[in-house]
Amino acid sequence: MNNSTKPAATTPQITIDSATDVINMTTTFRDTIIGGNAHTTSTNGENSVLIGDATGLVVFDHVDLVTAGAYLLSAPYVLGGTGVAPTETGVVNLDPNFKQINDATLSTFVDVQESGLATASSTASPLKGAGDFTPILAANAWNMYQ
Amino acid sequence: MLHRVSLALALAGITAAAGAQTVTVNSGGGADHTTITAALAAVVANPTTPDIINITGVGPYNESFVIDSSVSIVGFGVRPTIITPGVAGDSVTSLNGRGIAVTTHTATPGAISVRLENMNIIPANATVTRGIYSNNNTAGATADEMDIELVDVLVTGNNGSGVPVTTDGLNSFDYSSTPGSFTFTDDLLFFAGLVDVTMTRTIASNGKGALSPDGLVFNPDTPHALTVNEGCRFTYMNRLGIQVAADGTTLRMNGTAANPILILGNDLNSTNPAFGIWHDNEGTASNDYVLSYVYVLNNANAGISTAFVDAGQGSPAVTADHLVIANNGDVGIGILADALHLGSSLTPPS
Repeated sequence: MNNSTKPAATTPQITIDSATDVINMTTTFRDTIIGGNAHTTSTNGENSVLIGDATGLVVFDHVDLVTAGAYLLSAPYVLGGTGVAPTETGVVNLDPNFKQINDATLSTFVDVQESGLATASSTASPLKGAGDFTPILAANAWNMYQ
Repeated sequence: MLHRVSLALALAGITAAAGAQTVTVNSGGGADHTTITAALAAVVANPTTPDIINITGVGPYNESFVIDSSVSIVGFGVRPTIITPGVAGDSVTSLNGRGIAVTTHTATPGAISVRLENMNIIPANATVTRGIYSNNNTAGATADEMDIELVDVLVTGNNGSGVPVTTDGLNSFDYSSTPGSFTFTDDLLFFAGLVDVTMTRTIASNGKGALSPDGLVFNPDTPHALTVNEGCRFTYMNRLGIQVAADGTTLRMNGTAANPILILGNDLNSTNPAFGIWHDNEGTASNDYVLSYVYVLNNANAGISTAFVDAGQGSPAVTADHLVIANNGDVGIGILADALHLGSSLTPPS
């Protein structure tokens, strides 16, 4: 085999070769924020976490499945076919109140401002990615004295 | 023009045991050579491994080349720009049109290890297809392994004046607003053959050519490993940020809190299916599949689409931590084993 070419340019969708295909692994998401595009409707799982036919298991361990705010999911997750409901530990559904996620050149990129995420990670520290955690409430309180 | 570099068969497997051979390149003179091509030819003429080519001038270096022996090419105290016209003259290994090609050699088989460090790679014209490309030489040593490492490498478009259209991959460049600017026409990084790839702080950005380019395609012939380390960015492509299509791939994405991996803004305004990360992997139980400190934001379709299929193959466990996934067109994450949700139902947001 020589894979010097890639799948057709306009059809990268996954091709499944039989009806017996299954997911047979465990997928664990930990200390992760999964938001959407603010579309509130869901058809066939758009704007959500989509779990297809599965014998494996999805684990959400201290994950924010966002169901409020500017980047909400239409549903935390959607099961397709024989998809199995995930195991959830420490899952929250808060708007992370990102400072902004559109300009990666700024230091505020993907900063989390939601105070409710202050201890939401698996180590009881702020649930965030690699950005800063600057709760809005704290900032407002500080601003009162300026 | 096709330039080939090879080492003697007897030395093919030797690494640190032999003394390093270092040559220098500066297009402005004052070094051993004025072109990288000439330096590659020189280290072949005096076969010693490992070979190191230190580039001491910023260039530009208007050349394409094929690497088929172990060598490190390093921007040494400077960050040179290679303006590549595309390889020509290859008839068997799909190298034509690639900017920099890595392949195994027909006559001198043996595993090779190639390192590119601290450089910019941009196209010299609007017909160059891929920035960095690998494939085994199908006419010769097809069973040889390639190990490729990229450190602080930027692959992006040409602003028309021989300058990269971005330096950090954090902005989308509008080619239509800058007359004379152009992009690679296809995937910026494409790895086929028997190849393991490791990259650190490497950026593939603003590939907006006609062939629906992806930032990174990892498509080895047999199960191999892709390791994406801190600071890598795959941004503003016409299609996918990363495509991992080969079965059995070991994938490690090791971002850090200080320097996460960014997969941003791929195909926001097109009807192309454009995922941040697209996995299609029929794996084995021994595969690592790890994602840590990865941002997947503002991509046109799914943030991450993962399919692990075929019962009985023992697909790997997947662990993901400190991801932020948001504002992708349709699905935040698709964990799928059927085609139900990956067809026409995935369309960009209006």
